[in-house]
Amino acid sequence: MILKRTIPLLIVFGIGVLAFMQDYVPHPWSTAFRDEMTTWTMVIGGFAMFLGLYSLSHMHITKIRRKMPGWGYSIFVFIGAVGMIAVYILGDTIGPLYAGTANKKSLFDWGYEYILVPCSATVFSILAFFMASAAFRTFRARNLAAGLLLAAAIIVMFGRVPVSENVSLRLFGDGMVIPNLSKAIMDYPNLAAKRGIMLGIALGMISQSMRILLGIERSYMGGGD
Amino acid sequence: MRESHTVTVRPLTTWAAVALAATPFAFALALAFEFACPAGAAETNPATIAEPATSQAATQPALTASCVPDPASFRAMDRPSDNGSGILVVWAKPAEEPNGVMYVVQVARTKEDFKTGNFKTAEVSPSPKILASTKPNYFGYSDEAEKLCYTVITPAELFEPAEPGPLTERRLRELADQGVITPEQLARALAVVAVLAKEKPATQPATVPATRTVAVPATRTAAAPAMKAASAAAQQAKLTPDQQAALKAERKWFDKIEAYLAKRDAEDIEARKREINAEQYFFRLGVKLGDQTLLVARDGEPVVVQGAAEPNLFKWGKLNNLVLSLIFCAIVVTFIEIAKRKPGMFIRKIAGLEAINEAIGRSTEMDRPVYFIHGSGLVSDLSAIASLNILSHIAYRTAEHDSRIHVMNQDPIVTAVSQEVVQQACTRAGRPDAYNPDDVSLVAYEQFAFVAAVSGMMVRRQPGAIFILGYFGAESLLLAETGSSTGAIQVAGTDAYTQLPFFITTCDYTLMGEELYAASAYLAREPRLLGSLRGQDVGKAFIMIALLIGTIVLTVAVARGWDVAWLRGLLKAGNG
Amino acid sequence: MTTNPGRPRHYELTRRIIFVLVALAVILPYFSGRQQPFTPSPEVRKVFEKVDGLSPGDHLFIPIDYDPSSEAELYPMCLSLLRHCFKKGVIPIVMTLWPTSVGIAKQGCDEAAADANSMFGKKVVSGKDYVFLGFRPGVQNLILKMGDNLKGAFDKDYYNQPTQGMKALAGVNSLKDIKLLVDLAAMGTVEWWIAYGTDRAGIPMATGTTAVMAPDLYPFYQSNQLIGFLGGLRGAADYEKLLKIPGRGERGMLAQSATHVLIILLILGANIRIFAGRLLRKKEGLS
Repeated sequence: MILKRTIPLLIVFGIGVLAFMQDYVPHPWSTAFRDEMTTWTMVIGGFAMFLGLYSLSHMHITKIRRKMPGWGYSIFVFIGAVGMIAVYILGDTIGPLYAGTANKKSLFDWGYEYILVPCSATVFSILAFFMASAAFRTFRARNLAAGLLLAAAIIVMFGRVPVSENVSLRLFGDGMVIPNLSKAIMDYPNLAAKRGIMLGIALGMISQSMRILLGIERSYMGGGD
Repeated sequence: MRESHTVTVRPLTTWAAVALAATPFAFALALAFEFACPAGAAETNPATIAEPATSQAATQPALTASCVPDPASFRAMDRPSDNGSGILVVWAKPAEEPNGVMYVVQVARTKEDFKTGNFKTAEVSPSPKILASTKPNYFGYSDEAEKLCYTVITPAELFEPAEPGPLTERRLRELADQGVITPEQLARALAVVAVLAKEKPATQPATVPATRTVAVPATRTAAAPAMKAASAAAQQAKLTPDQQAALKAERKWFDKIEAYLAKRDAEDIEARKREINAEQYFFRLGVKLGDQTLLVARDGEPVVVQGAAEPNLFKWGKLNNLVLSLIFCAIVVTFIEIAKRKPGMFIRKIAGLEAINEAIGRSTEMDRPVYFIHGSGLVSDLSAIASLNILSHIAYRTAEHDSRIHVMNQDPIVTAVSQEVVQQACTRAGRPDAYNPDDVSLVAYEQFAFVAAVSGMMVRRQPGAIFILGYFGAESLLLAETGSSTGAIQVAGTDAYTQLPFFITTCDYTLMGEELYAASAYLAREPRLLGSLRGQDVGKAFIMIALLIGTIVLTVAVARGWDVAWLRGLLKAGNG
Repeated sequence: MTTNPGRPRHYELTRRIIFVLVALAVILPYFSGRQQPFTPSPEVRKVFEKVDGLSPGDHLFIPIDYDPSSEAELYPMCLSLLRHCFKKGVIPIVMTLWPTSVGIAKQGCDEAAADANSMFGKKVVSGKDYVFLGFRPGVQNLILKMGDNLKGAFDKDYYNQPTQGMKALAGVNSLKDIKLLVDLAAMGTVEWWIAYGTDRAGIPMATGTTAVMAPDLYPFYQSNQLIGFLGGLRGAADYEKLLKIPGRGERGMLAQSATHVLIILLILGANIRIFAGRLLRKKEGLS
């Protein structure tokens, strides 16, 4: 119990208080402590990668072995991982499909530029479609509050795009009426709401941190307590 | 299991006490949030004299005694709240400041160095920025601060330690004598240096790294251009392939030694700078206009003051921050103690957490798995810790219902902790066999790879309930919308306020910010946890009342023209 | 995809129609090649004027804190900033807090450097006219370290050249020696740079973020912790317009306008349908 519970809690409390005080102490000892902690964090994070790699590999190998639904996708996990590691280790070569310019790039750079970047950008771009679908489904003026939200959303969405300046010019004779209205919504009600939420979150974080430091909250240690 | 308990603490007494306690801090809290003094305040001060155009004077005025600061005011002292790198030199603003005049601070290691001319000079241009009133952390808010000027002297910047220089044969021998490199390493390094020296006319020497142009291929070693040159030189010398490979290997080894020594040199320079900053220094002050320089003097002799920098133990500019933090912590601890003595604190319903049982029950009826999706936070992030609390509860309920839970993680350490949490929950529910380690796994470390994988799993396996909890970025809408399309009941919770609108529009229940942190207290109903929630709410009330009172007070102060500069600074976030 | 029995029958069909309409609204205007006039916003203008006010030889610190997924919105900002620096003779110091951003940052530096030659007739050299420091782990701690000792945090640049003695970093010992910091972020790094970087070092800061994050910058902008910001593709377009060098930002404005208008029309259409249905039901109820 001492090893599993008491000592970790003491370490958390001690290091937590030191880290808290570090911000108030300008002495070089404080900076040295901070640098040391950073180094240790990086070392532990590095070892954690092995944990993740093991977990990932074990899960996908099990899927392939048992031919579970979707096991074909698990093969791509290993193709991608092993492939990129191999090209990095093998060193500087020119990508076979690279449209030759004066800049020579390694296969690793080629993989990054022509596989990772397009795939990430593609998945991110799905957001546009999902956002349209979610907005269509959700923005219904069921009551006064929903109606106000709808009106504000339309004004802000419209005010942020260049076409609003044309429309504003034709309707009001001044091209900046709708954009300025959009900006006013962002500058005042949006700002006030954001600050309120940020304050609440900040206080919640302090309270939660205190619970962790005092050992009241122990979920990060794993286990039922 | 959960009962709603009535309030046991008298609200009126509590709020009255809070309001009284909040009054002293009310003014500056409002200021801190609404009227925070911007960094360049001194520049916008309407009372500041504008810098006159330098082209106006046709002839250079002569320096007179009234242009020289008062010798009694000239002093040097340790800069407070720093790491021992700065000395404050302070003097009173003279009666006259002609156009183009500069203050000159002469810094020497000994008094005799002034006579021999072995001193350094720092020039300071007169401007509102050098007034002591711009640094209340150092000089306070007195009227005297308006009449004082200051500058910060960093000795290590004036008396910079000498750079060790490139790795020449001489330097390598010195390092070997000091024991930094072994005799064998010395011999190897000297051989490489000799080769590089021969190539010197054809290339830049490798000991002075070449600056890269854009067109040069971006390789990962600094020896690349030199290696190419070595290859060219090798061809000229008609070396065999084995010899060329050996040379290349030696060059790579030399690069490593060079990098190690460069890092060591950088550390030595830092240490030397700290020693330089810690020494005692002597100062003289003067004014300079063109060719004329007049030193601050007394009885015909220039005034010399001395001072030294010392590392300080506390940043006094952050005292307000520390006091407020301690007050808030005290409030939380107090309510934890109250809750221990008087259990049964009221907590309002949080719909998202109430819906957990319903969601799991629905999943069990439909014979579909429950999905729990962690955010991208590390285990050191509070949102991840809060999510783990909820995971424990969900895993327990799922095991009780004899249903299956899949936990998707983006971080390896969170994966390990989640496995432990789910295993313990299954054991607690009396179903240790229900735990399958492959159900709690790392899906992907990269954001959109994670989204793609989880979306695919959702579409194929059709979960009955999805819990999306933690810190999310752009993947929030993708996950929630895909989950919505499968028809699962979705409960989301995040402290990333940028993503809250997306969760609110697409999920059935959303835990907003602090509701996520309150989950552990809500689900466990432990008195200490509820007490900390109450303390947090009291702290929030404290801030709200302070904002209100502060806004009123400041409005009145501005309307009546009261000087509230000291109030502005009372809770300004300082760094020193 | 199975249909949720709680949803209307036409739910899936409606979604797909919306997706097709959005795709058309993005693709057709983008390839039409037409440009739309617009006025740069005050927030972007302040950033532009601040950079424009820098003198040759001043240093501009640009952390690249976005990954490939946000490239569409932030890469045009990155290019415009770097081009502006090279045009003015300001020395950009580029680095990143994330390993996945290194490739994009390098790509930006290379492209902007090549553009400097073609657009301004200046041959810019890494290590002399700009420096790309690359990536180091540590995030907030790295920012703190750079605040005290930049060359200690990055003893070598991305190309393995020592930063000590580097011409591009002459006179720069820490963040305090930087004239302006512009964080290009798609992650929550803006607050870290404010808290651990610019507030401590006392230097001005601006930021360029995705459109989703832009509303959250207003508290910092209003309290002068940010001198200005570039929000999303519109922010990139505004900066390109001020710089008078068109790019992907300006090119995307017509597509963005079309998409926003489409979404507004869809929302209005759905609401009109609901109100019409209610009116009809009321009439039927009365009659």
